[in-house]
Amino acid sequence: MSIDSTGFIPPGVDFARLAGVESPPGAQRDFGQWLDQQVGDLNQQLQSSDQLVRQLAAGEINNLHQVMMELEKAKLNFELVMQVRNKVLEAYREVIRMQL
Amino acid sequence: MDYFSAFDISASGLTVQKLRLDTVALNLANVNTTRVTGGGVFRPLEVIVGERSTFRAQLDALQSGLRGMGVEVVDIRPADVQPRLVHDPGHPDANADGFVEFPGINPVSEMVTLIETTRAYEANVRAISAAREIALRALEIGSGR
Amino acid sequence: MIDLGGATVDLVRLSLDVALLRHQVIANNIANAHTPGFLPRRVQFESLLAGAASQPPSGINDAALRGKLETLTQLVREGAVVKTSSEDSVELDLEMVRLTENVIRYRALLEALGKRSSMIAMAINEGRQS
Repeated sequence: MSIDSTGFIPPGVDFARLAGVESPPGAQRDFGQWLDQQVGDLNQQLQSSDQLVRQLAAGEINNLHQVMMELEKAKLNFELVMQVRNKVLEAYREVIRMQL
Repeated sequence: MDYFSAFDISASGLTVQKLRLDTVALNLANVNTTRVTGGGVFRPLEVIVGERSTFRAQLDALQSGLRGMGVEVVDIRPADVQPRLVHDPGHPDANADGFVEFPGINPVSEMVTLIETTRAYEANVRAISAAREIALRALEIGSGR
Repeated sequence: MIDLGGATVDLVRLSLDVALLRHQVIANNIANAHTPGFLPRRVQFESLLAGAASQPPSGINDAALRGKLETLTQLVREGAVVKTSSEDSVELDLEMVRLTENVIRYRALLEALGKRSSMIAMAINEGRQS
């Protein structure tokens, strides 16, 4: 016995348009790409805050609050990307554990 | 913005006030000095201060916009006051008419300078501790949880 | 990168810069308390901000605030916010009051910034304190 759950829907119905979530063509983006870019940006931010710390150690920069704020920003962004990574990993494990 | 130039500014204030204090002490100590090495009566000293505007300050000004940073001693010179003449013929430094030249120091005005200087010194110390607090607070960014 | 701070953080950063500059100006006034012919200086900044920070909550426009902040940062860098006061001598006690006021303002800014960033951290860490 087979159950056809979508058989009652007439062909040609555009669900995305009905739900109002349709995105313009070409704007579709891969989540993997997005994450990749975020990690790349985060890396850049960590490197630039590293640069600031070096300048502070070398006595080239004396604006303490600027350095501390950049570090705090980098830290928060790091936490955010870490959390996204944890969630992705969790989802992956869930898929792996799925009983087929 | 530079956290440490605030210390520089106040430190220059401390140096200048300290020097003024030293000068007052010197003047008061020599209130009865009738002869100094090189001859003549002791001449009270006065300190001339001016706003500091060094090359370094000019460089800083490019970043912070402060043209003069701090204060500096321009000159220490004998004050232009007439010696006090006291009639004391027995004094070894008495002149032909029996008058002795004492330094023209006014102890009252020296005391006023002393109080003024102490107050200014304290104000500079307070400015330094405020700068210290600001800098230490800045280091606490991100550790408040 | 995801913008966690928004224009508010930029505004706070500029205000911290200005507080530092103001401290230097006051320290310079105090150091020059007995300099003949010295005119005390003041930092005029908050009046330039008028309107930029007080937008209705519904229409917070980061881009507009950022644009304004850029101009102001330039002014602060050039030192255009440091003005010679009309008073003709330094009043030490008044300068001390201004000094204290400035430190409190500075601390308040940092405190607010810390609370704000710990809220963001809490959102990231699902309500746990990190």
